Amino acid sequence: MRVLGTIARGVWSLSHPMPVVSVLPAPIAIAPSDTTLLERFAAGERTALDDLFRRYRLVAYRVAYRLLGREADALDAVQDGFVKALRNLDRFRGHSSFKTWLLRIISNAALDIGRQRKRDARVPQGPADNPPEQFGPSGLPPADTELVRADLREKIDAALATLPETQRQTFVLHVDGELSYREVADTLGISIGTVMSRLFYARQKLKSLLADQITP
Amino acid sequence: MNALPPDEFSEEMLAAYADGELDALDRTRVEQWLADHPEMMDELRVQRELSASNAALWDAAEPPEPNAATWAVVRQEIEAELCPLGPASGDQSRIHRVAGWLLGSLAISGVAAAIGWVAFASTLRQPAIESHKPTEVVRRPETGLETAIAPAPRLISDSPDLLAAFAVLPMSTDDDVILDRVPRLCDGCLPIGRHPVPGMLELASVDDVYLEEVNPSPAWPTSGGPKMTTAPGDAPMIFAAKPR
Repeated sequence: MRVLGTIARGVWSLSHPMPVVSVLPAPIAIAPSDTTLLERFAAGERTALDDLFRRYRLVAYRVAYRLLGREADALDAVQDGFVKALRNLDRFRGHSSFKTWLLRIISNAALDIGRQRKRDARVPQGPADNPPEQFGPSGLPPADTELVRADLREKIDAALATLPETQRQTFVLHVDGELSYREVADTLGISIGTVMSRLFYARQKLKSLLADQITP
Repeated sequence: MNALPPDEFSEEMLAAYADGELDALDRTRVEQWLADHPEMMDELRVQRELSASNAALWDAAEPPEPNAATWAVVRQEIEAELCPLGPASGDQSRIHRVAGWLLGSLAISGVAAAIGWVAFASTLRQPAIESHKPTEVVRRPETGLETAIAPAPRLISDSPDLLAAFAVLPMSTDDDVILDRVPRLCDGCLPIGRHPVPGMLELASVDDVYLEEVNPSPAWPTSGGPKMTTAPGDAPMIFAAKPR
């Protein structure tokens, strides 16, 4: 009705010299909720997977990357996590958000991969390939700023690796997963007091390890 | 969270307050507590600065984002893994799936027949080739430890010592750590290495361990059980062997 009314006013303005300005509001695309997407996915709609993947791939990747420190491993964890989450949708009760549920599965998948990597590291291997993040699509070495960034990343990864696994997972879910204390507690099935404690001690340790990087 | 008595107020809670993560009730409690303890305002400032500097550091070291092609591959692989379990969506997909199964079955039958033929043909030819090869015998190297390792344990509930039959407990391969019994060794130590054991491994120090949560145990003595706190360094961690 509003559109028809606006068009009518527009026609009216053509037949009159008096300037009439009518502004049509731009159509607002309302993104479907996670629940809607999951229902559509369960009904076999392929685009629902696209939407879910696009919505959460980056946050899932960041969490996995911080837990593993390598792009290829992080992508494996993202893939495993999405597959497990979507395959076991019947176990998702909807008490928490899909994001927290997905991030729990992905962080657990990342920790599994990390453990597997440690076991594999016992077997002597040849020199490691250049990690993909060191070279962009052009195949050229990264720019100076990217080198600085990579160096910093390496220091953070090393510092994170010294934390106990539970602290690391809690810290990464909060910082990189952008989950609140309450969401982290729901994700890991622990009390919010435990989240506070883990984050506090994780920060204290990271503060001492990264003292030269932190400039308050 | 909002049921914490004031005596359990902790630095962790102050950090949560600095993060803006407390609910209204706890926020009010912390603010009242800060009003009574103005000297803690400095600690609050430190916590806020730490949160801000951490956030800046994390932003500066953001992980490298995969490019669109990489994402597309991951997306395809997810779908490839999910597809066999994917739900049906209408008659057309059902027809496609049945057709796929038929074609797949035909293809598998063809491949199986081809493999069978190749295997059969190779067995026909093999004796002529193999007859000229010397017979190889693979021998497992003798380690000398095999006699010391007992067979799989028989767990008998009324036995006073379930491990009595074991001289050596094989935990992993011969090259890994072996847990052994060493007479006259102090309780709570883990011997490492092979015979003769050269030394002991310190399992952990108070700097390595922090206590996260403790549930009271009915096994604790009536005097109140062990005294434990959550702050590192407040209590020694003791590894004690069970009395036999």
